[in-house]
Amino acid sequence: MVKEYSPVKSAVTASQVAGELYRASLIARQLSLAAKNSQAVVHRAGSRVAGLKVISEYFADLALKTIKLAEDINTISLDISQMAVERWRLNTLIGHLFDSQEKNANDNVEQIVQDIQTHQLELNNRFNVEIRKLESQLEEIQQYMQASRVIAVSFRLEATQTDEYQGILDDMADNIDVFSEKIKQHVIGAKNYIDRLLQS
Amino acid sequence: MEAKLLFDDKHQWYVFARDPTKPDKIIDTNQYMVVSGNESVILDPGGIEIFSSMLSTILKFIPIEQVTHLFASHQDPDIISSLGMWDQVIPNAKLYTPNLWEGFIRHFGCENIEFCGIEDGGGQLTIGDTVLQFIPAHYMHSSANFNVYDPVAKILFSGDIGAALEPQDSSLYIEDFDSHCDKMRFFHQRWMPSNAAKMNWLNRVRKLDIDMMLPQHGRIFRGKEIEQFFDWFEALEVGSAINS
Repeated sequence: MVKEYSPVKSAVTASQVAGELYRASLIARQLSLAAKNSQAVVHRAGSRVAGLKVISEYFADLALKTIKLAEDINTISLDISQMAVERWRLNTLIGHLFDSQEKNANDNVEQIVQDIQTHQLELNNRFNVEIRKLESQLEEIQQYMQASRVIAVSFRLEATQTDEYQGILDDMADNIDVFSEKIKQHVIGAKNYIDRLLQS
Repeated sequence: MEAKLLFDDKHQWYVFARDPTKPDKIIDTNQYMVVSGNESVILDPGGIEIFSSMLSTILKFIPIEQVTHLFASHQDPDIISSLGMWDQVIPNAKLYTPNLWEGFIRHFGCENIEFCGIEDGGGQLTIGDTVLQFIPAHYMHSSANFNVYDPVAKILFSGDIGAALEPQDSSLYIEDFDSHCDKMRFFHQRWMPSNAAKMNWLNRVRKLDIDMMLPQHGRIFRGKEIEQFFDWFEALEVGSAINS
């Protein structure tokens, strides 16, 4: 049997996740800017930082993917929140219909209740599918951030082999680290909200 | 839903509007939020159909614990039919709204939120360090109705006054006042019932120092557009349906 979570808590959780990912997407834009800067530096430095060319292209691609994923998660969160509100409204309606039935037994009401319950079940199933999808997307964005930190390590390594560009590359590595960590914290925050809902 | 920061100093004003996910036949509404310290008030939180969009948009800027107050300028469904949902999500919040409408507004569901009725003469509300004034705007259009004035930000939330009926994707700001009048005319002639009430409101708000006027539908007025609106509105005959 599929578990049914409180629609009120579900709506709030989905909105909280959307909020965290909105903030993450703002930082992802800064990450993307850092990626573009790194491409410019690599281009300027030419053969002296040849090893970074592929990495900086990969980094630019990763930053764009992060923005896209954060926006997708935001959209899914809004869908989940809307589904939760719909379930919430149906729950309220069913409560009122039961009250009405108690006051005056009526076959038509029973049929209406059954139809609504079927719709509720469908919504609940969809809700559970979407929340799992959300979890896996959050996992994916977390992996992106791990990859991003590996890129920062590569920048630092490469920096030690250059003189003129060492400072710039070190600063870039610091920026990548800071932005990736901030995004990761928002993703962890979002996952915690979901965990609290799933454990309720 | 589009979100914009309108004023940012020791406290903030936000607008939430142009929700692309709302059903087509529902009138577009502008919601506003004032944040000061750890408290906030949502002005005219909107109808039940936009509740989930509103909640998601608000939580981009503040945590749920900081949504401490609601304000409803009057009793209409596009203003406050979401109350039953807010009542479950922020049960410790307070709702400020015209006292006259208590028995009506409670039909939307208000079991947990504290109902704080505003008397006809107006009043004020302190959010964090910010004092907001409730300016009477009775019969404009609702029989018990308030605007909200922030003397520090010099912002007047004017509710239905200054509203315009426009497409979903229109700009948040007025670009050309003269052409905008065409979009406001029918709304004010038909929804505003009383020329005497109109003059009473104009006499009140003309004394205020206003940089921005925020209606619940349509576009935001800035600078000289506010005085232009007052003059245009003064010359407009309202209560047009009695001629039909």
